[in-house]
Amino acid sequence: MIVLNLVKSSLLVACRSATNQYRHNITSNLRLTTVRLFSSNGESYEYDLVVIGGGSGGLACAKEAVQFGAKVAVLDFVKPTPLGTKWGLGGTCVNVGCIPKKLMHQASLLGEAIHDSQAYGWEIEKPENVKINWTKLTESVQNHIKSVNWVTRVDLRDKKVEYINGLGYFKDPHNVHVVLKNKTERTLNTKYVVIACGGRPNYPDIPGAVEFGITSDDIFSLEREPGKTLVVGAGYIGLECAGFLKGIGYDVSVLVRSIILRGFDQQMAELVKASMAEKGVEFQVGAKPLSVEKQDNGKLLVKWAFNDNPSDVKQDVVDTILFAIGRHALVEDMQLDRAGIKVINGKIDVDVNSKTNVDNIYAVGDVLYKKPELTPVAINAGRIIARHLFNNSKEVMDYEDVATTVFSPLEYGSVGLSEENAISRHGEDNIEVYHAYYKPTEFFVPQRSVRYCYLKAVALREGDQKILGMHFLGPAAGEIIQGFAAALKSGITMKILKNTVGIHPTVAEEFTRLLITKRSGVDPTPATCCS
Amino acid sequence: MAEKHSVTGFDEFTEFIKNFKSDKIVNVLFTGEKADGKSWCPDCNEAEGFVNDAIEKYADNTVFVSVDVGNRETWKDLKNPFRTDKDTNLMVIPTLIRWKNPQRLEGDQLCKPELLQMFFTEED
Repeated sequence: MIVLNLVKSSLLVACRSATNQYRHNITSNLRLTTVRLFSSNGESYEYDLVVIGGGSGGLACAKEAVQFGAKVAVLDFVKPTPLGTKWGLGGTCVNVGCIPKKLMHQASLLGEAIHDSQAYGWEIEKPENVKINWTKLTESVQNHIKSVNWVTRVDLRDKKVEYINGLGYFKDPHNVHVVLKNKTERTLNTKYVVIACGGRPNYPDIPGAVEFGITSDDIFSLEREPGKTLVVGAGYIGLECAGFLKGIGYDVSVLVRSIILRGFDQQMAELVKASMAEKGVEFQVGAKPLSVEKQDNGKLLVKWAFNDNPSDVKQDVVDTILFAIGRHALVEDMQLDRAGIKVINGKIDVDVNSKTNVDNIYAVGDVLYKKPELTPVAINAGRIIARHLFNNSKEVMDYEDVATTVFSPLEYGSVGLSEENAISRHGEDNIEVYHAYYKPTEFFVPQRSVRYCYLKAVALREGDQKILGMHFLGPAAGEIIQGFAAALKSGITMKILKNTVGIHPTVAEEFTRLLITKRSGVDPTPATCCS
Repeated sequence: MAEKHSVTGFDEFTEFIKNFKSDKIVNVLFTGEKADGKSWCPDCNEAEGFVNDAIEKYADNTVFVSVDVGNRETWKDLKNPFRTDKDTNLMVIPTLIRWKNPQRLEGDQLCKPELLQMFFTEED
């Protein structure tokens, strides 16, 4: 590996005053000859690392690995959705996840802001005519995504990471076979493999779901207007989609099988639901869809029923049904058994070094068993794997206290334990929960509802009261919680928080004003601000 | 052989590109004004050889438009329409764009043969 590194760096120096000789010698991968790399036990491999999956985790791992001189190839392939939607390099986050989601969430917030602006004096000639152009929105979003796809590919090429647009599967632990888009095939012989294949949305096993339903994979590039939409599923994907579709101007309802935001603090989840209901999203809780049919007029007839009364079949006519009922990791396509990799509940389990049960094979991202499915988690873990494999690093991924935000119309940001987890871990008597409702200054003028603007800190009861979890429902929740995530990791206590002077007027300062405990029973609704 | 065109200044460029009809891919290079064959912009001069080589090798059956953005003073003005127009949105010269598409290379990326190869040859 060191030999190759020296060869590469001298070639990079020569490149700036490129000559004909250089151009003749260079293939697209900067391989002058097939350089065999020797590992410590004398075995040689064509590649140091093959990464299966070009998403958040895979790309971070690959780009970090080349910095240490590793020869790396990234495989990425997107199987089109039933609707035919497909996308480029970058994975879920860039193409059909975080990025387009945040842009559409922003679009919906801007719609609200346009209306609020009138109270602040902006003169809008015909407010009732302010409406979304769905085509323009999806075009803008897709243009951004495509430019990110391009920049990603340039970055990989610039960093000498080989990108192969093909579906990879194992022949054995050191040989990954790729079938390319143009049907050609190759086998990549490699010392290490990192599985970073991610996941895709589930469809329910009911008539018409696959033929007529869409998922988050399709919504961000949908060529027709979504119109009246039924969202099935109340995890964060379902809620975020329902939220921005409603904010953009469509009629939206949500079918919830049992609870909202499973795994999240349930008090906060109920407040999120209430805040969305206040904005006009209809929730049917304890229900599931039975079938989807297409009517002659092109609309969809959805039949559904409450779980406790399945024979009382309800129906709705909608333009779109969006399934957000969960995601499955793409373990099926890789022939993991040929490498001896164990699968648990459709996911891959790893040790503290992100290693699977097979010594040269690692895994990262949404494919992992019982790890947070978040881009920054995958990126951090991916980089640590590369440093571990190619730079003798002893670093280990820290999965504790990972902050997240649900980008519902009124956002919910949190870090650390939910109240119920804190109670089950420490006992109710050993926990103190500080909480408050608050009123953002900017909301008064346009008379925006403050009914669900709420926050709480969950702490240990004794001593300086170490904070275990912080939860915030309100505008810009992600921006607010991020700093507190670092504070939590540093061991922030209620004593420190109370001694922290707030920035005024903000909503984040409400954390520094927390005084009322749940235990006291005192009404947490504020009288006025500034006192 | 690439079909080559040359225009000078923003107005001439917008007029040209508005009226230009072709089934072929249109690539546009934005570069600094030249005097005696050399531009005031050193990065543009440095890139020229690499870009021309790449066009020779890879740009058959495409359209290549070279746009002179003006002299140093014109370019340094932050209100220069090449900077503010949303289709060109130039932040640096030289810039190479696949017109109305995401493919774009800027500055010293244009001195990298492998990136130029990617720009001219790879499909989505």
